Amino acid sequence: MITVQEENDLIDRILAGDKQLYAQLVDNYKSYAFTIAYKIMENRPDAEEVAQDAFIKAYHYLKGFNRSARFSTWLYRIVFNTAISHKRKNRHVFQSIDNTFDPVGESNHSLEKDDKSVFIDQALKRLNEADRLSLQLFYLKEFSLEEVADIMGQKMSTTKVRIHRARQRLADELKGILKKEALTL
Amino acid sequence: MEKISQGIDDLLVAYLEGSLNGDKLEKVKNRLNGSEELRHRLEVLKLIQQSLESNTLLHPSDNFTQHVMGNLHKAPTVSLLSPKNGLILLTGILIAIGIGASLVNTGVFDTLNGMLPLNQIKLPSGISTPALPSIPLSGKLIVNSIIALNIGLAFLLLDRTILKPFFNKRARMHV
Repeated sequence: MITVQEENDLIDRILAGDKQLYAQLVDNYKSYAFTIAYKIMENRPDAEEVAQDAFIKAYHYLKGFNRSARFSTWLYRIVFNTAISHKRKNRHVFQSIDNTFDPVGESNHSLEKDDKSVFIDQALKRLNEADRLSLQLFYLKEFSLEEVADIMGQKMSTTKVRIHRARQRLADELKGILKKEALTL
Repeated sequence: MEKISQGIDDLLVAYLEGSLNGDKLEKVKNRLNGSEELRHRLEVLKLIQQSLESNTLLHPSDNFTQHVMGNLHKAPTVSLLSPKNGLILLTGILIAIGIGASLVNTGVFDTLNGMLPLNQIKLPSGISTPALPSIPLSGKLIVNSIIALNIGLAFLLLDRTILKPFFNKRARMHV
């Protein structure tokens, strides 16, 4: 992990023309960028394309990065916006393709997860998209509440409310399953 | 389960994360001891936290960085039209072409012929021009030109907003 100062030096050198150094930034942040894209797109091919597009955009707009925030926050916001607009564009026409079984994505789920996790995953899918994303980004642990708000381009108070509302809904959904478990003990 | 306020929720989450200390920690412990509802809520929050945190970081394909670096020279793709909007616009254009073509076919524009006399245009005083010619005008020709332009535009729309995204997506799905 590089420090903010080292990162700023790296950015200065990239802006000065050392384009190949950008690979270091890509390597540093690709997993989080891909994870954010995946949370929104919900399939690997689209998430990969969105994350790549976002890195290319970030490179072209690097001059405009004013360094008041961390590079990662600025980048993740680009990933978020790219993913949202990509999803909005493809939601209707290619719905049948979007629903195709995604073997790689699915392998991360079903087999290893216990019933509660599967149940939480299903409950998450029933949440409003903005609430779900706020909650998922918050629990990724990399981001503070302020950063989640920055990435999603919303006020911190809105993010707080979204996370609380999402937790509340999940809690309501889990109430049933926990009661059932208590009865079987 | 009753609705729990955001403040209490935040306190319980902070308690789970171990970020409370001193008075606040004691206060939360006391409240938990005295309320079964809060203990139940804590249990649920713990379950949510464990489940969401176990969704570990995902990793893209091995050639991700290579692919990005290989495409850095490309300008970011900015598409103003979604496939849905492209389809709506394309339908509109096709309807307009159909109406235009049927009107041309019925001969509505056949009578709209004439000359546009350029020498009758009033120019500001002081500008002297040689005698300007008259331009022949044909309503049918103008409408046909507009139809031809629309057909070109329709092909462009079909390619950029529908076919290209569709085949790109299909290619990605088969990688």
